[in-house]
Amino acid sequence: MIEQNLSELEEKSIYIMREAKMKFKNIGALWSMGKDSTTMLAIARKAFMGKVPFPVIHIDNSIDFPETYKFRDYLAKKWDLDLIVAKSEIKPEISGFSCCGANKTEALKRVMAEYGFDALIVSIRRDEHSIRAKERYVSPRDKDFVWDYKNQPAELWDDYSSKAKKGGHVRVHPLLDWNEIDIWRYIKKEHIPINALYISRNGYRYRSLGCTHCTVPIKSDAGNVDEIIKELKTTNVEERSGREQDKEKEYIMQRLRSLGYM
Amino acid sequence: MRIHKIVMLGNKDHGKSTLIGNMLMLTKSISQERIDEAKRISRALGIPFEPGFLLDSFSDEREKAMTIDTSRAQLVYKNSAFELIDVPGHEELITNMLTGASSAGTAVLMVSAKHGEGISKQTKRHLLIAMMLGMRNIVVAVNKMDSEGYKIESFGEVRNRLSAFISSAHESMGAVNAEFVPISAYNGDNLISKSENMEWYGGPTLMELIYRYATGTGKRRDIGLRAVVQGEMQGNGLACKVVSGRLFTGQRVAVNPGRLLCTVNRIIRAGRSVPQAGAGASPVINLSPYSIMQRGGVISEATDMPMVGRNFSAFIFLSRIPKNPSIKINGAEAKCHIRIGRELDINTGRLKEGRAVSLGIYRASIKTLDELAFEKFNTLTELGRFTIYDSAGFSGLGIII
Repeated sequence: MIEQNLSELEEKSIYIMREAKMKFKNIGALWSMGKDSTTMLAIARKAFMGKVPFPVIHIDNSIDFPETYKFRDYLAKKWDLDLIVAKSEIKPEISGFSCCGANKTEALKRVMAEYGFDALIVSIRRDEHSIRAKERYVSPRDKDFVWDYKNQPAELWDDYSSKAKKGGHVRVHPLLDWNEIDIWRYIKKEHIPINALYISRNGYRYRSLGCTHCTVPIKSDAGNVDEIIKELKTTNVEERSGREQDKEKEYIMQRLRSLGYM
Repeated sequence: MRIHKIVMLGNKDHGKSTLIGNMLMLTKSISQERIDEAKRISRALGIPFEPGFLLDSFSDEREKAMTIDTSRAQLVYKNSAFELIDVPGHEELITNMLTGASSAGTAVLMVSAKHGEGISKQTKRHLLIAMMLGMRNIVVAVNKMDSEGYKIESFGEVRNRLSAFISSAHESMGAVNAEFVPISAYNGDNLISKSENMEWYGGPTLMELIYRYATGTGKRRDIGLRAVVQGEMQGNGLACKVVSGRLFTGQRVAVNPGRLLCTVNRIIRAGRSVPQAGAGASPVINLSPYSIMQRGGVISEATDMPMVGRNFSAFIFLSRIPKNPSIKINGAEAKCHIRIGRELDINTGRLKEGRAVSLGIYRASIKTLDELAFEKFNTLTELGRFTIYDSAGFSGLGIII
């Protein structure tokens, strides 16, 4: 896994977040309490003089891990975050694709409508998935959250000028350039607090975090951030291999994303 | 690690995605899981394994065997890191091609040697756009050598014809270095290791050429301080981006347009006060006297200001003819009038009399309603390039000459 220049990545992410803050009236950010969105918040604190200047949204289906809730409350207090918890109901008969689609995306739609956000910061990275490698830094979604991936707008140089159509919003992706290993190197360098589930317990750790129903841990003895970085240098396993919703069927990520999933 | 960005250009179906997919596999830069997925989809579609599916991830792309939007993947070769950027070759998807190409420093131009394919208008258009965007080193990958029996004559024909075109474009677009390599993207010939199917070719492999061109490009040119104003940070100062030179506290600077003379009081980088900030940094600065600075304003030393004005000459590429256009340059946006001059003839690479049509490259005079600060593209790339928009969206780009 290629280790990129952290300072360059950080500067670009800062620039993109400031662009978003200056251009859009009402920004929200998704925070899953995972490593990527937590890193995004750490960068936002740097970009905006120590304080995250937008609300952070947890799409809470009530089946996240206990560690995740604990970490949320700890960091929300420590960093003085403006936390919005958007509850979604999990129906036991729905799972996988339908679960992420029906529950998470629907809850997101409700919270977006309630608060009137015109821009949503989402901490996806190109190297996570080949569909995510097709994303723009600033990407419009229509009123039904549909990603018109066949007609994406131009995005040249540092001109992130896409606007939302009426009733829609834009997704802002400040971490698009980062690789998984860069996130961990940055967490180490900046001493960013992380969810305890990433650290190995009894020979297992979570590499990518979702909810309790659809996420499985990987075999790993990485007991701290240094050991995670070391592990990633040699792995040939996909980061999201423990995420069941990705694998159910071909093009699941494309369908989820085109319907508004994060 | 610095990532060298390489864009694959060329006509549709000449093998850009296949090439990147195969290079990822040959350098072991992609997981078995993703390869297996591409294999499974190829089988389901009833076609031989298509390495291009490692990049072309949309169902529509795979079913229609075409790249719709740009994508990227990284690999390591000789301890250097490269990001290979795939773009669509279709004329109607030129905006996506420009989006991908805009971040690259080096280009690989794919030309199919297969009978009936060869050098097309689109091949030449992509080449001329790369030249216009300042890519001075171009690797020409003559692909599908397998379908021509790996014959030297097929390679020679493409090389001779394209070399002649490049020479004739020198006068209008400036000189470029071009190296030709015969390959089969699908079979892997001459991609990473030398092919035994083409003993007659004594030159370097494609990856070696990419490596030499991308890593050999010297340090970027730095002129004096040029920082672009991004905007006000709610009472905390001015967010800006340093594109050249160095900002330091106590420095006497000018902000243009407007010739505002100020002193740099404080520089805050990533939340901390620092004495200076160099190229690539996005600091927040406090200037005194305080005044409202326009987005896109250029901060420089008071004794070394950028070009400022309402008129400049440019090379422009129009993906669509704009109505009541504006240009965007470094965050500044200005209504403008574009007067089309001579057209770059796509067949010869020379300038000729022409009229504005979609997908054309032109010399043009641009007159803006508001004053702008800029540089010539050859002086400082970042301040010398712009995009063209109208109410319907993106319609082209240009460089200031």
